[in-house]
Amino acid sequence: MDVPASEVRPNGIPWSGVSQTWTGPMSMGMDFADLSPVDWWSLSTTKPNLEV
Amino acid sequence: MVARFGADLPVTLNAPVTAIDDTGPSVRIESAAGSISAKAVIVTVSTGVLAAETIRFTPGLPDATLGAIGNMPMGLLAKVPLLFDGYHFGLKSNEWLAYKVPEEMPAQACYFLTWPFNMDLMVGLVGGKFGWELSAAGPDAAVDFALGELRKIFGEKVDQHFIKGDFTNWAYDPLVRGSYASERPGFHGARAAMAEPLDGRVYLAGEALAGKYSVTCGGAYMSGERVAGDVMAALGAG
Repeated sequence: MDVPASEVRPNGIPWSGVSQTWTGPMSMGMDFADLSPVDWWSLSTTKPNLEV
Repeated sequence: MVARFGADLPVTLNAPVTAIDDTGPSVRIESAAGSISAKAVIVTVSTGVLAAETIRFTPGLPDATLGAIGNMPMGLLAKVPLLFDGYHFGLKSNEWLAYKVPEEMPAQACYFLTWPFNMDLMVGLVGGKFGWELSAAGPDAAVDFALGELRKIFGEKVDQHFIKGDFTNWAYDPLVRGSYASERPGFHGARAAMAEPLDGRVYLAGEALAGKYSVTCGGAYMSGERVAGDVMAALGAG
C-alpha cells in the first residue's frame, strides 16, 4: 500500500519529529503527508547531496 | 561545479525555450535567443517546469506522460548559507546540527550543516511546506528564521559573529520551480511512466527519470547521458 508516510508513522517515538524532518523535508523535500514511502524506499540507496 | 564540468561544451545560456514543434521535417525549438532546428531534442527541465506548461509542445505530450508529470510534483529543500567570522561555536566541520521538533508535521525547522570543508559557513536547510512558505517570504525572512533557531542554542554569540546570509531561490525560480520531483503517495510508477519513450524526435531526461539515482545532480547527468545514447542510436550515429 503506497499511502502517505504520515499514515504509517508510529506515534510516541522519542525524537520522531526529528527523524520525520530528516526523512521528509530534509531528504525528499516533502512533508510526511505528501511523501510516498514506496518512492522514498526506491531511492533509499541515494540521497541528495546536502554538502554542496 | 556543473558549469566547470561542462566548460568545454558549446552551451547557450539565458535562452529559455518556449516551444518545441515536432511536426516539420526537423524539430523546431523556439527560445529567447531565437529559433533552431535539430534532428532530435532532449528535454531535461524539471517536472515543475513541464507542469507549468511554459514550453509549448506540438504535438502535445501524450496523456500518459502528462499524467505522470502531474503525479510527480516538485519537492523543496532550500539552503540558508550563513557566513560567520571564523568563530565555530565549538562545532566541527561537516557535522549536522539538529534539534528536537514537535512530532506533528510539518515542523518549522532549520537544520544545519556545520562549516562544510572547514569554510566559515553554517548551511541551514529548510524543506517541505515550510520551505515553500519561507521562500515566499523572501531571503531576509529565511535568514532571520535560521539565525533565530541558532540563537535558541547559542544565544547572543550568534549575532556577535554573524557576517551575512543568503537563501536559495529554487522554489520560485521559473526555470526550476522546486528542488526535485517526488511521486505522490499512491502513484508509484509515475517515474517509469514518464520515462516511456515518446513518439517522434522529442526525448525526456533529467533528475526525475534517473531511476534509483533520482533527486541527485549525478542522477540527472546519468539520465541525460543515457538518453543521449538512445538518440545517437536512433539517428544511426551511435
